[in-house]
Amino acid sequence: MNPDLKKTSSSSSAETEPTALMTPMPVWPFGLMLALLFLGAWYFDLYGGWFKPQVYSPYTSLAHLEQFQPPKGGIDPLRGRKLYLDNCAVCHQEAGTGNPANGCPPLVDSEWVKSPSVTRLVMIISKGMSGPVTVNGKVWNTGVMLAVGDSLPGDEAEKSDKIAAIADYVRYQFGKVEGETTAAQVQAIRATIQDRTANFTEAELLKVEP
Amino acid sequence: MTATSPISPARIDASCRLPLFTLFGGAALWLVLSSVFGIAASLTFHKPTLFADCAIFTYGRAYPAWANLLIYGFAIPSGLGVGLWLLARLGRAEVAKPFLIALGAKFWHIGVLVGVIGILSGDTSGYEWFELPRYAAVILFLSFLLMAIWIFVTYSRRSVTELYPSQWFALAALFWLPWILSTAILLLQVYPVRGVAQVAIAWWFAGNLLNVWLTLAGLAVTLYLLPKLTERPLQSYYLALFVFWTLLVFGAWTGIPFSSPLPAWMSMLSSVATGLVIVPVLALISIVQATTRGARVACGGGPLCYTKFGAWMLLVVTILAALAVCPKVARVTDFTWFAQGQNALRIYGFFAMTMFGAIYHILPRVSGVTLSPSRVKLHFWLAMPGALLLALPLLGGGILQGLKLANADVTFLETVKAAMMPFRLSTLGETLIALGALVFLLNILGTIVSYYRAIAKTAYAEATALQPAEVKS
Ligand code: HEC
Repeated sequence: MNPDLKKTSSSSSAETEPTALMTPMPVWPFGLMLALLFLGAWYFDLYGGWFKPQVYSPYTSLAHLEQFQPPKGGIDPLRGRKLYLDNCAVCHQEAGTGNPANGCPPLVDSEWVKSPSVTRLVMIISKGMSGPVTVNGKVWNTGVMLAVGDSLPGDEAEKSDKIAAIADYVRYQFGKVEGETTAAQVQAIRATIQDRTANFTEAELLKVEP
Repeated sequence: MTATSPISPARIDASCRLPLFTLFGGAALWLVLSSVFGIAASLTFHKPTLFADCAIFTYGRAYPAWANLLIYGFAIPSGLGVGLWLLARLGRAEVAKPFLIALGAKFWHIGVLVGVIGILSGDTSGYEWFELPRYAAVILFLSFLLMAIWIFVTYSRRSVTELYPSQWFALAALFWLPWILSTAILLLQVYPVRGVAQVAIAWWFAGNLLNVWLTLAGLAVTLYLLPKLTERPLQSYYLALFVFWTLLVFGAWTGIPFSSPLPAWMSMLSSVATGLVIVPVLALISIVQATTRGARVACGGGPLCYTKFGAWMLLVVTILAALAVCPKVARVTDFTWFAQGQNALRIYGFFAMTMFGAIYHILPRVSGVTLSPSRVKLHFWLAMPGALLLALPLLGGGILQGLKLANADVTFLETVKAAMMPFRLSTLGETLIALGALVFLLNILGTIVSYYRAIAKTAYAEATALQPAEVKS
């Protein structure tokens, strides 16, 4: 015989389970709920960004987000960076430090990059460069830069557009020079050296307006 | 309810005994262990080098060990045990296959053990409140199913067909957990979704676990014990129905913090839901007030004290959570100790207290062993101040920390230091909680041991046939 059963039966058989009164539901909980639902909808309208997946807190709507976008048609730093990484970074490295192992000079702080106009840079990018060159007081002579610009894909207008983006990126990133180069500007410079096939040399470039 | 029932409460209680001993005994043991890790994690902030040479007590392991032992070790087994008893009692049905439920509970505890060993050996999953490694989570899920199936069968064998509100809550808890747990296991551990979707799911899971599951399991008790102990009817049925549905509808969306790195609509929807949870909780408080008003029952540190305190803490933490989604407040409190303070209040203040009350009500009934009221009271006077002393400093420290973080002139280190003093206090709270947990464990083990000793005595007496069964010790 189960010892426990005998013992508790006296106490708990007298136990009754609780019951619930069927009094009608008061109105205030519904009122409160409606009021909070209204508040909630207002709150969501203010901060929720209406289900747009681009909108993250603390921004509250797509319009709010637009205010913080870079102006349309301006410099797109990411495009220039990508082109630089694809076309130049093999030799000049991602950080623009150059690579002494194959005679590739740095772009960081280089006077060629920082020069007031973009002309020389566009010429170097377009046709490449060889022969001795002085960068930051150091002479580099062992490497050859190919005509990277000429071999970019696309027609003349597209090439110019890409070179403009690269030039802006390089000047801003490594020379701390802000500026906006247009594809037309680049195309005009390239028109003057259209038929050239050889690389430029330092002496030739120095003759051009800096 | 019918006045005469075919099955006596004593028989129902007896059928609950084995599963409840297993569930509650394990829960108490894990609670003690959890608080040990809680203290270790907390001490790391006083002296970071304290456990430098002891890998298992380093913060990254002690903290998840604390959290997972607390939830999977203590909260779920105790909630499930109490739910089983309520369903059996209110449905007037004996437990179906108590042995299998107890077996499921054993497997569950093994799962927790495996999980915590995994966590301590560095195998955490990395999702807050779900750090258990996959193998442990799967054991837990399967053993939960084993228990839930037979608990459900117990429910469906009920001889009283009308349902009392507590039954809805207990049943919903029974179904809610497998749903969220299986989702979390599948989408986070078996076929992990990519990128930010992981965070969204992890937060959704944790929100449902803490804000819905704990509340469901806790309120099943509150709605039962309050009328029972005050010997008054629940006021009222429809209000309880309202609490039930609004809690499920709004609670299920909570969990994603205001400034989470997710598309704004997710966190804002979640914030709106967090605010709306005030509705069911206020309705609950009105039930508590209407039911206990004028009742001349002293609470005396017994189950009634625990239940009432728990209900009020639920109100406090719900209001705090709603405040914390107001943009101005959220920018200060998000990702500070404030959230931890809320968790402490919710788990130790509301849920654990409610469960302690229920277990102290149930255990003597299923075991026939009376618990000394002074030991129940002692536990109350350790756990109650412990919960407050843990939560309040964290809440205050979180605000301090947040204000300093928002100020660009203050270095990060200074913001960390700002919360140091409140944090010291919270360690004290954690210690009180640990002592309380120890008393809880001793109370439960004492009951179980006395029960088996009585059985042994009877058996001995019957065998030697000196006298008829007399078990009073
Ligand atoms: C094949 C490797 C290579 C690639 C690709 C290359 N360069 Fe060069 N670059 C060189 C070398 C080598 C020199 C030095 C040439 C010399 O010694 O006369 C040089 C020189 C330069 C100079 C002048 C010197 C200096 O450091 O300021 C600039 C500016 C320049 N490169 C920019 C670019 C840009 C922009 C690109 C991408 C469109 C690019 N280079 C791609 C190898 C390369």
